[in-house]
Amino acid sequence: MDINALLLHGSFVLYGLSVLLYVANARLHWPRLHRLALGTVLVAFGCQSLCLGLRWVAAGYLPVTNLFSTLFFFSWSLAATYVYFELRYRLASAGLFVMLLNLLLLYIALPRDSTIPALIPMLDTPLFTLHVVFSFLGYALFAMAFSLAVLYLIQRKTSGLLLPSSSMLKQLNEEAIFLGFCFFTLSMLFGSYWAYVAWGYYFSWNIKALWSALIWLYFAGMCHAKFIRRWQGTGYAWLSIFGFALVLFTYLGIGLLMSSSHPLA
Amino acid sequence: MLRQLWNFCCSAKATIILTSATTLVAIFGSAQIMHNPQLFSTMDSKPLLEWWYGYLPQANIYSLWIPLCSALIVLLCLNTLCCFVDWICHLGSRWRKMGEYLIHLGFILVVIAYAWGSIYGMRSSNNSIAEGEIIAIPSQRGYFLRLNSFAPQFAPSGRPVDMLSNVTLLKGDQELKTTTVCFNHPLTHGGLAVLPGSYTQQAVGFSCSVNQQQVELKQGSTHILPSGARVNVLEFHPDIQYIGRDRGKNGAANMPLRNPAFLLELSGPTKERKTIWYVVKQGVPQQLLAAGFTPQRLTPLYKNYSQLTINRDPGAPLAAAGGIAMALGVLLSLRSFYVKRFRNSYTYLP
Ligand code: HEM
Repeated sequence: MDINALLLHGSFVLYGLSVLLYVANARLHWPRLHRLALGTVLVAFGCQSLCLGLRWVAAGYLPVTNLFSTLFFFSWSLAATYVYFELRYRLASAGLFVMLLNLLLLYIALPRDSTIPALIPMLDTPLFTLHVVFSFLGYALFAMAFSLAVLYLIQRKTSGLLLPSSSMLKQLNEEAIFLGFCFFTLSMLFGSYWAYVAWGYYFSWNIKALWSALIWLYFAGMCHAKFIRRWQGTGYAWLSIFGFALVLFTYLGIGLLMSSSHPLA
Repeated sequence: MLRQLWNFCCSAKATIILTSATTLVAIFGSAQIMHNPQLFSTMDSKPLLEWWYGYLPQANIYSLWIPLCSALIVLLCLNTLCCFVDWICHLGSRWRKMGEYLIHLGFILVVIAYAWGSIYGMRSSNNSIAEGEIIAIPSQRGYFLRLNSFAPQFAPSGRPVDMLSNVTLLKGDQELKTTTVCFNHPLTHGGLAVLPGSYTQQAVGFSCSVNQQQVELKQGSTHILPSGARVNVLEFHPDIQYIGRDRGKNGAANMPLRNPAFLLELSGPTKERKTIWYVVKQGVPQQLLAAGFTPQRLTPLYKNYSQLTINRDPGAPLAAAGGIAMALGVLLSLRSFYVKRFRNSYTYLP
């Protein structure tokens, strides 16, 4: 087994272990267990980052051009988002949905061919890398917002003691949406500039570009909803859930159901 | 009354309503695109307004999503403009929101730029041009494009992977810019963009041996025969059935080599001239044979044509300014977001 495969499988096992530890901690509330779970996530994230770095160096470009690489990079973005929230707010099991999604993506990616394809000239531009990186970071943050929104709704219904307070969940949800919107805006800007240098126009009416613009507008609207009292809390949580459904459709649905002239559709 | 109207125009509720409505209309539109791909897949081939005029005869009630979506975005842009103006009026106390309002300004600029490009822009693809040739830039009087050199690039498998066209943009006789255009590296000048599209090969004649001498038979070539007679190649046609149709738009080179023919001028030592058709598949005409013109081992001669895409979008520089404003705004508002988070304070809107 080569080093990349070792790191990849190692991070998968460690992420899985950390999920078990977090679940145990959610029941038992042992600070040591939480520290152990956090440590496991950090080691797993380190392995995955190293694997990503090695593949990047070997390819000479950030490998995000085939299904394996995009699944792998999306999983890395989800883990990075989880690590950010966990280190900053000690989110623990409140972000577990993101970790489970990460595990699912790795599980789908593992049996696939991980060889790095030669880069075609069309994709040989830093604009492509920036476009993809920021869009996956944006998607990962929207996934985190979804996770927090669902927990917020559960918390409001059951006032579950094991979950963080609803005001904290609400605040973190808003942060995830705002950060996601910022990254997604950068992704759209780099993507538009790339479209201009590749096709001679910066907005294409292909389904994927249309849905990306639509998601961007939707989340721009959400950035304002949090300032309006009536939309805060429950309304905002539902908006986050619907927003993530739009994201999922753009990432998966369009690729699976429709044909598009977008280079990565 | 005026104050109320202004407040309505600046209202964040209007923003949420407009963004939600635009999202819903665009979802509906994407379903239309999916159900009618032949029609909507041509949307990128022309600026939006020109495409819409061409599309109108086939338009039905369901296609109203395009003007509806455009109208909603214009309203959103006006709404954002009012907010931006309102912010400028209170700049003294609200300058800290610079980042957020740069995002707003960027959005306004991009919408104006897109509308401008959709109304006054031009898109033209498959402009065929051979090395050394000059073509006029479509709908841009006085501007020309010269192809200095062209080199298609191939993968080891033989698959074409890129096309390197060294082109010069001319305004009259004046050279404005020379660049090698290839994927992701267009020639840009103001709102003009020249990009590689594809390439094609056009047969321009044959290489052959005439009386043990290797010669190239192509338009303009002259061959002196041992008898002292001269053969001038006046014309070459890859397919005699399509004379006059072998060069389409801007000299498009797209005629396959089916039934090639030469129009030759035979001038004898006594200076009398005859024009003779030499249809390759039918063999050399008797008059030419008699004069000693016996071409053998004919192999086709090809010329490469670069097929360039030439687009003009007068709004592109403004859109770039909008994009930069937005990117800067994102960075600044990320900073101010964390400052706000640190102070844990919010601005609640009514
Ligand atoms: C599509 C157009 C728009 C975009 C992309 C946009 C984007 C944004 C973003 C990213 C923020 C920062 C949110 C945050 O701090 O979490 C913001 C804040 C804001 N926007 Fe917009 N916006 C748009 C249109 C509008 C319009 C039309 C209005 C007018 C009502 C408006 C009014 C505001 C206000 C008042 C704030 C709050 C600034 C503050 O923090 O005090 N926006 N906008």
